[in-house]
Amino acid sequence: MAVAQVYTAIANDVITAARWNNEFGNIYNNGTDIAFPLTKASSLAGFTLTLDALGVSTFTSSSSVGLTFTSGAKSGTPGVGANNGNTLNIVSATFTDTATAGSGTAAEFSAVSILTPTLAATNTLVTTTDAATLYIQAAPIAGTNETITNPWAIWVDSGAVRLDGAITANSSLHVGSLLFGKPISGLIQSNAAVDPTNDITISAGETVSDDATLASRRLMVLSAAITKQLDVNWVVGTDQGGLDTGAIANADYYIWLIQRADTGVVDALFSLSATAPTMPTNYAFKRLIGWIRRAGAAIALFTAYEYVGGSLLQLWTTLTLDIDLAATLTTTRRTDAVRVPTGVSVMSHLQVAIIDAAVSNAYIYSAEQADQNPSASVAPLVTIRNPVAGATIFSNINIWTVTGVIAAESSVATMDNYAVCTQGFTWSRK
Amino acid sequence: MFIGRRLDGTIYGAWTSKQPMDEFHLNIEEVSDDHPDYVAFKTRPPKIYISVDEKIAALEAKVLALESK
Repeated sequence: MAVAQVYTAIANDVITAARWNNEFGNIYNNGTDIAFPLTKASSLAGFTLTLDALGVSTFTSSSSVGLTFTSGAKSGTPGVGANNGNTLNIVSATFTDTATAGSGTAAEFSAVSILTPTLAATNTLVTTTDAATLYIQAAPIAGTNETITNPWAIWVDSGAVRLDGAITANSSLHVGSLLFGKPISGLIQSNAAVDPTNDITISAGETVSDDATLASRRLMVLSAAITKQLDVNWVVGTDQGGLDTGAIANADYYIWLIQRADTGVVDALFSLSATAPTMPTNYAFKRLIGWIRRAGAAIALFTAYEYVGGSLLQLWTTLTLDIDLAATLTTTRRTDAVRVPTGVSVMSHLQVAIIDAAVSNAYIYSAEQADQNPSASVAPLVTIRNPVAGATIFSNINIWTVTGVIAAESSVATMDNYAVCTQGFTWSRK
Repeated sequence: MFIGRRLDGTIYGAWTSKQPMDEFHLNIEEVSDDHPDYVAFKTRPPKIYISVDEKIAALEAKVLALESK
């Protein structure tokens, strides 16, 4: 309310002490009412507007910054929610639409809007590397006597978030609910060019960590190919050690993509384990992406391809006689391991041979299937048939293996020879 | 390389992968790729198969030879 004039003087009035004191006392005691509410535009002319009694919370405007709000140090009860933004709090308010007709639809509404800024330059051909309409420096940091368990730079407590533009995540992406399973793309291993005896190179790619809880899964992005050394214990980075623990041996090794929980750094790791590698310190997320075999003091040479849906097709460079049995395959089901991973389900690509003095059949099948004797006329029929006594018969077959073994049995009491070469395998990596 | 031996010491099978420990993989031992026993097994001569027709022909030849005396 504006300050009212106490006494309206008339001609020939004498300004008495009482009238003087009343009029100026009124102005003095109600001075702020002179300025507020404003009756015309006002200017601070670049001067600071101080908001609080302690004089620490201010508004100011300069030639280069439109509005700077300085909160200053505050104290009290921390929190979020109603009236608890401790630096800047926008209180709940109701806005009433008086324009839209009854039963009509308003196109949009926002409580707080930041419109498109324009960045120009005085000089020609100026380039700005990164520009943002809204910039947030970082999540809260812990001060004296304080520990922050989950520091968030942005926290949307409730409600869906709409992003009409693309999203760039330069670090880890922690998604509470994935609409898809465990996608994988790229991340194909190869024998390293410089030291194929001991090193493996993994191509760039991305996948999701294998956490059972959807809310815990992380997007893991290997932005560039990485080479890891099987003969050296793990050290972060390319051309560095990759073995999780122990000393190198002639054995099967699983390749893991791993990620730090704090910095989001992604690396790779070799382990004898298909389920629980020994993780480096601070690395909490992992995903099984590959498998290699070391035999004769060297990593077996192979060629791997990305196949349908991010699956892996791995073919051995040199085939070996992985099963070679003499007078041992009988009418009793037996299982033998072939050169494929033992800890995951794969489609094994095999080349098989049988030879016997008699006309004979062999049924070679997944160890996950029931025991059935081969038959030329009834189920399960035969996988490979020798129609001529003494002939050697060959065939290429694909068999699903879960533990790395295949089952086989003969139609004759003892098959003279039964042999299998593993060409490679296809692994979904899901 | 893994090989399996019969009780008489002869080799009944060879594998590049470690095998399950079961009744089908008895007396397994790991040997080098150039172990003489494995090399001998790998290069074992093929079994000679004689067909029934070949056996009949051989017998007929012997009968003819006897009869011609």
